[in-house]
Amino acid sequence: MSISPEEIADALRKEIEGFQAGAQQANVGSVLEVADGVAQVSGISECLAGELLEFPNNVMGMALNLEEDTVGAVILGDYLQIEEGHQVRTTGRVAEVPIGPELLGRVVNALGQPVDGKGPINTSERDVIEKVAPGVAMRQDVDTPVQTGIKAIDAMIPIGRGQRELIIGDRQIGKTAIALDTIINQRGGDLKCIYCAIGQKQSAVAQVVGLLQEYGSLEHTIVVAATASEPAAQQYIAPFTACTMGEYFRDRGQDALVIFDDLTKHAWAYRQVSLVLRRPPGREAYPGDVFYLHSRLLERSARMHDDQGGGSLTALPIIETQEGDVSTYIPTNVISITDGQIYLEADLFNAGVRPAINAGLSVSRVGGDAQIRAMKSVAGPLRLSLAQYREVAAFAQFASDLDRATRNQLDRGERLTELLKQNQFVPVPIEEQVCIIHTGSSGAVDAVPVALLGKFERELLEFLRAGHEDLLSRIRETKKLDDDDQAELDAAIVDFAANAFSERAAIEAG
Amino acid sequence: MRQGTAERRRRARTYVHVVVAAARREVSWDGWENDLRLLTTVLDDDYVRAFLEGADVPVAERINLVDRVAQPVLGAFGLGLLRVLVTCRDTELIHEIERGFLGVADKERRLDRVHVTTAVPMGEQEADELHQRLVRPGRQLHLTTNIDATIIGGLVVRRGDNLLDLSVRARLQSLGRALR
Repeated sequence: MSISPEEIADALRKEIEGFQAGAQQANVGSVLEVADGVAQVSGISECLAGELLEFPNNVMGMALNLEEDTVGAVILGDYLQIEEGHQVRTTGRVAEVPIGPELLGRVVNALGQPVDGKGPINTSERDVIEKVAPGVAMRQDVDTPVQTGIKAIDAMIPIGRGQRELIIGDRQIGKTAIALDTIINQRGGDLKCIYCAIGQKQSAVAQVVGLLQEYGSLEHTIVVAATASEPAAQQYIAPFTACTMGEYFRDRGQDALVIFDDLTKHAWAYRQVSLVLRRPPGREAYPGDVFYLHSRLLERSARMHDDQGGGSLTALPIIETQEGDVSTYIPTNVISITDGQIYLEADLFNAGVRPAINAGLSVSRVGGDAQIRAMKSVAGPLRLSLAQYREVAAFAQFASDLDRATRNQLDRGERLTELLKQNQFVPVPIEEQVCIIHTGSSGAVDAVPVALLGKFERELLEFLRAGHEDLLSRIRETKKLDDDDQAELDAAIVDFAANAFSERAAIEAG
Repeated sequence: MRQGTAERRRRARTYVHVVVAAARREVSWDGWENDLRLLTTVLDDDYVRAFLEGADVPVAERINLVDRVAQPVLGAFGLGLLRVLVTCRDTELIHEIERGFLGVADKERRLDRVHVTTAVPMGEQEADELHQRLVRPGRQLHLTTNIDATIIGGLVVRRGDNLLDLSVRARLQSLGRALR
């Protein structure tokens, strides 16, 4: 179908005739100085805190410091285009970003603009990035799990929808991997994911996007990227942008998961902005309100009351520690804000335990209520066995001098630790996790050499999928492991170990 | 080294406080305004400022010159301010001092400064009409105008920090944004 030039002219004429341009009224001021992404502006005496400011060349800024006769504003664009003396106008709006399902599958910057080269995003709604968290009456208990697909987490540190669970550990030991595995495990599910990269290398973000695409998980995910090359101001607002995008789903009765990777770099960006704004530095040169910065962000994660639609926003903030030290300023702040932490340890990682979760130091303060009953019933003995193992693990080197009970605890602990190991990007469905955990904690693998456990687990799952599909689907649907199912599972494990396991000769040989 | 406006404004604050206190004590806002305008005009001359701040001329000699030249035209306080500025090599702050002083003085005198930009010169009748429309009850109005052909038509009115853009250029820009 072609449109004639006359039709285009007609449409334009109608638009112009119907156009009502009122007088433009604005509160104006001028740039006094601009440095490191922050401008000092005089005038604009009616400026509001957090208001968007319009600079020349279509550059926007956000007012942060309202002083006696100047306003300190962070520039949300190319600050090199702004010069002393440039006119600044208030807009009457606070910073806002596009929201909506159209953003799923896209990579955007901290302002919600697409950066993936797939063209414009046609969202119909926008929302402010700074919002007050839902009040007490608007919330309800966390009672539905977020299945991460990671055995160690779903069994011992369960995460509920609406919870804030911190992932903390040194660099390069698998923090992002846990977050990505969680996103990948939501494929085909009802949980929308938002991954917010703060201060990371562009190459690292590209790698994450590539992985999500490869595992078919980008279509239920929004990636908000404020990379290291972008101004500190954009890195500062990026998690708030991601949170606002997640709230869209939460407030419409849907479930969303937001990952902040990572809040250490976010605190660095905020420190930079604050120092350039000449705010007084406090501990480690962070401004006095760095706790409030993270608490107001993470408080926006919530499980909404059924009257409010019953949606949820779960947050997985990530914190990077130096040499495993969790007692520094930002880690202690975020630990105290969140509802638990998954603590990753470099020593475990180097010893080949992947994910390198320290089960003793990791905790989920509300997740227990959100665990399915089947998992709760099999994970109880697992937690106990591992706690006993940790108590006696220091004596492992004196194995020959130990009594039988202690040796048994050590053997069981070693096997359970081995069973909880898992490769990256291989999420395990919850019903299979229940079977594996039950196999370990019931003692069914006590006779299997530790080195063969990986193979044992793989072949057992294949055996169950082939011959006991109905059992797996019952656990998946009822979320329970009743006595009959448990008896069937025990019988299947015995049958597998005695007949089907390819290395059974090795077991029989002892 | 010439500093940025923000830094100059910070340094000028003390001078502004002193000048405002003096004007308030003497109730001589207009006198101070005249003195500051004169000082601004004089110190805007780079050659004059270079001499007054020059390191190779002794301070006493520079003050002597200031006294000889400025005494007949400046009030006692204006002359005193100039001496201090020369002694402290702060002559570059004069614009910020004037700006700060006028901010306070205008409030005290209930004076509105309105600047109007038009595309073509206004006739006397138009200017009078505009004056009457802009003046607020119980306040004085100080109206300044300038011509800027780039606004195409209409006018732009600025009163303090508030800008009212009634120009054709603004309407066209607004139409452009709407069509986009």
